[in-house]
Amino acid sequence: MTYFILKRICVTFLVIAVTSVVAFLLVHLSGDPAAAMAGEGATESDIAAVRQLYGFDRPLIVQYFDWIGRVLQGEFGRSYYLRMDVADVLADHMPVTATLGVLALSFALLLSIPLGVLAALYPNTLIDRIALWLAVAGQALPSFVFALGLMYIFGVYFRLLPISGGATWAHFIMPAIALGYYATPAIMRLTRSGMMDVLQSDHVRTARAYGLAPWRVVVRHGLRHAIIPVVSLAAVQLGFMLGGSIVIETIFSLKGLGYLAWESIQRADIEVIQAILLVIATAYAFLTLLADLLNAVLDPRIRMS
Amino acid sequence: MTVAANSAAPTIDRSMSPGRVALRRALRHGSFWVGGLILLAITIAAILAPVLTHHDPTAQDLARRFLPPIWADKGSWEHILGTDNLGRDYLARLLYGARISLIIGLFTVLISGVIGTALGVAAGYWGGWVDLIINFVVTIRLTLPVVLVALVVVALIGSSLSLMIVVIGLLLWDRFAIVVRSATQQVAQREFIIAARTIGSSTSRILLKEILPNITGPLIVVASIEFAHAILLEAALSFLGLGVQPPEVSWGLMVSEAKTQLLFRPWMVAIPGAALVALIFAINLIGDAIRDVTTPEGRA
Amino acid sequence: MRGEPILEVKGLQVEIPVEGAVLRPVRGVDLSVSRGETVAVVGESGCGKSLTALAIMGLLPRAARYTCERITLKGEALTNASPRRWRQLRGDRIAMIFQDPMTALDPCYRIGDQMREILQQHRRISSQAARERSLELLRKVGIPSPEERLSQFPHQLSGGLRQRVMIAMALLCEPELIIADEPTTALDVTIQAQILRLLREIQRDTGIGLILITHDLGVVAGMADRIVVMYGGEVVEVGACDDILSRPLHPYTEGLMRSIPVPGQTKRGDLLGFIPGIVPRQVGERTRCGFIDRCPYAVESCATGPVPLSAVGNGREVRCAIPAEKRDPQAWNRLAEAS
Repeated sequence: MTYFILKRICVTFLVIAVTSVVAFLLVHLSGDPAAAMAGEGATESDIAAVRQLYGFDRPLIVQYFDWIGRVLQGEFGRSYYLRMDVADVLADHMPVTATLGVLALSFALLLSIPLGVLAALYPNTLIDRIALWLAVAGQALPSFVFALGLMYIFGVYFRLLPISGGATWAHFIMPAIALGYYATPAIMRLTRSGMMDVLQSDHVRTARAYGLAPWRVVVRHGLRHAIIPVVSLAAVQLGFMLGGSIVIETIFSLKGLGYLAWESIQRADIEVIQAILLVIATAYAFLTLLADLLNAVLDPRIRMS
Repeated sequence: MTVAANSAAPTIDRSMSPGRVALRRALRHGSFWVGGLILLAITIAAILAPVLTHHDPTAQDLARRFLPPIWADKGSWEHILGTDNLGRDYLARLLYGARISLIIGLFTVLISGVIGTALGVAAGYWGGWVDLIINFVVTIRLTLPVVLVALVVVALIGSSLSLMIVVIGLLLWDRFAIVVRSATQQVAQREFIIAARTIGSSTSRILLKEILPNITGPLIVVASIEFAHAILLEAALSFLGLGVQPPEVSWGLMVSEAKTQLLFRPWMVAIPGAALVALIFAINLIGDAIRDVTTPEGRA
Repeated sequence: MRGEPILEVKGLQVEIPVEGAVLRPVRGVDLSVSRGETVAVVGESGCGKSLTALAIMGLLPRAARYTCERITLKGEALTNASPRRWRQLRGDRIAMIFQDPMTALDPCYRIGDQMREILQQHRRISSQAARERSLELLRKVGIPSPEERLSQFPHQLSGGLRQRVMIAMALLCEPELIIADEPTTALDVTIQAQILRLLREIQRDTGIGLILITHDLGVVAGMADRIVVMYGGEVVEVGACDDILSRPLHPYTEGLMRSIPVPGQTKRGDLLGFIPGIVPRQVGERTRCGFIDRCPYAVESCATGPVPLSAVGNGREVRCAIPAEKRDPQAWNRLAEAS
């Protein structure tokens, strides 16, 4: 078990290292950063000056190791546009995205797990059909269309919720729903099929045979098992949400990492883009690691081996 | 097509190939029909756009801005869905916008399908080190956030339709690789593959003639998922202003341009939004139906 | 010399609707168990014996429907009892031991937690007292170092130990009746004997009623007081254990007996007798003898109507229209050669 964990951690760091190279190359090979930063109408000599100032004239490999070396010391460089340390900019924006992600995931879990359990308990009934159709419909709804729909109904028409900014908790309600609903079909289907399987299992029959209360049978002896793969999926989905929050944050003007990324992309603020890519990729890598570890915690058979 | 003649017979002829059996069962699947009809309607609308409307989707007419659609007061048959902020006919934009979605979906799936299938078959067939390395590559790909990477690359290189197809195609192959890998592993265990190996068939022959035809079921299912995924991604990029650029038309772009009108003219968001939902919904229905008929115990 | 009856079941039927038909795997089974009595229900797989047990416990799969003319437990009529009442009885008055101890325990919880959960479901009892009681029972079923076992997970125990744990769990609330469904089938042969001996000892110590469901007549000898032989969802023969084993009356019982190797008589390489054919799908009403397709003695009259279960004295009942003296002793051998 310890060996497994150590190996898994090593793989995670290897993944992050390779991802950092890919992220770096993506940003540096996709165009001439100096030209983009110099802006439209810049002369050849302007661009050359920017290139030299930011060290873009050096070989890529030197630039990469220079960058990653600084990153490892907590130095993410400077935003040429904001004239701030990237680390500070990230620190400003990260809590918003983290809050949004956690709220969105909570919403998704609170909606999809009970629905999945009910659908499994009463298969081929109305509730099962409704759950499945919600899943199919949910998967067909682009998040920005859903977000604008929410905005229209609750923000514009009924005026119940604020539509822009992140000043209060109420500001997070619609963004969290708009970001979270997309994960619900997958989680619901996995919960449903997991519960269907476990309800057929011998140990659930034993629990029934010993007269345990129905909720105990369903929750303690059923859901306790079906939830194990759901936990992994939820962690992965949270990772996707962090990467996908850019659309939602832009719509609701929520000043998180996604919003920052969108702004920075338009300004060709390379150092910030690079840092955000690295942060989100790292978060994803650690979330999948966390998912594996949680699996081991939840399943005694894995934990003991 | 002698088999088609007795298509009313409820029993399935044993001599039919698995693919044909699956197609036969798909044709009896309700959601396959619903999804198929919607997709067909949208495809026809996209192809026949110039016939269905005489308006140019990019022709501006500032004197006729924000005309309401036919069901609102003062709506007219001249502009059935009204006009947008630059006086462009909304129906024409909707019809031509379907082209972008379908083209993006089709070509990205071709690119990502080839990449993912090649990697998946290699990993599943050879296993060992090949499998380990390909798994690692898939992990790296999954670790990179799709929307963000697509945005960065498209923004830095300068957006164009072909670039978007290439970028999205290069991003969405992961599911192909994962599914094809496990499907290949299962097929490779079967007797006829082992038999083919023992009689010394060449590897390329086994891969192309024996393995590929036997993984088409899951392959088509993934293709439908990624088709929808690519369309959503293009719509999101265009919505963020970094995808399809004006004066080109895309449903995502239409939603983006209409979002400032959400308060007074919500239909301007709702129309392209509904079109996207209908298209994705249709593709998902078809995908679900194919999964139901190709997996023996396919459910949920 | 039977004691007071604990469980009496009359006319138990199970129906399972499947595509285009209704399976009737249990058709009108009567069963009774008295205090201190072990009743063995014997038959091939598919004869309806396990479904009978699950129906008595109210544990049938969702799709199955069951009806019962009368069911009483210690005089309490339960024919129309509420699900709530049944839940109170399960695990408390009636306990069940399952076939596969590898999967019957919940892999996510420690042995002690699972035992405590059952006790606290049925009794107002502190966790400490529940622990004491669990320990007492683990000792009683012969589990070494029970304190340690309490904090272990099922997968850390061997199959034999897990089945002992299951038996301890069944005894937690001092039930009147234990139903053991093939309790030794999944175990090694040496362990099988230990578990059976344990079950018999416990049954004699506590005087509970025991229903032992098995396909193996060899298991029954020395364990059971009475035997109920089932075939095709019906009881085909009932009688005292020794009577049936020494002189089976139903051709199906004869066939089962022929498939047991006899120590000292069966030699290596001997053909063990077997009953050709399989249990047919049980659909529709009975219009003839249910065993007719596989019976070596079948005559035309067997096909004219369903055969009733008739008492033949000495507490024995048999469902066969052909008297023993009219049966051809060579019929089985001919059947075996023909197939």
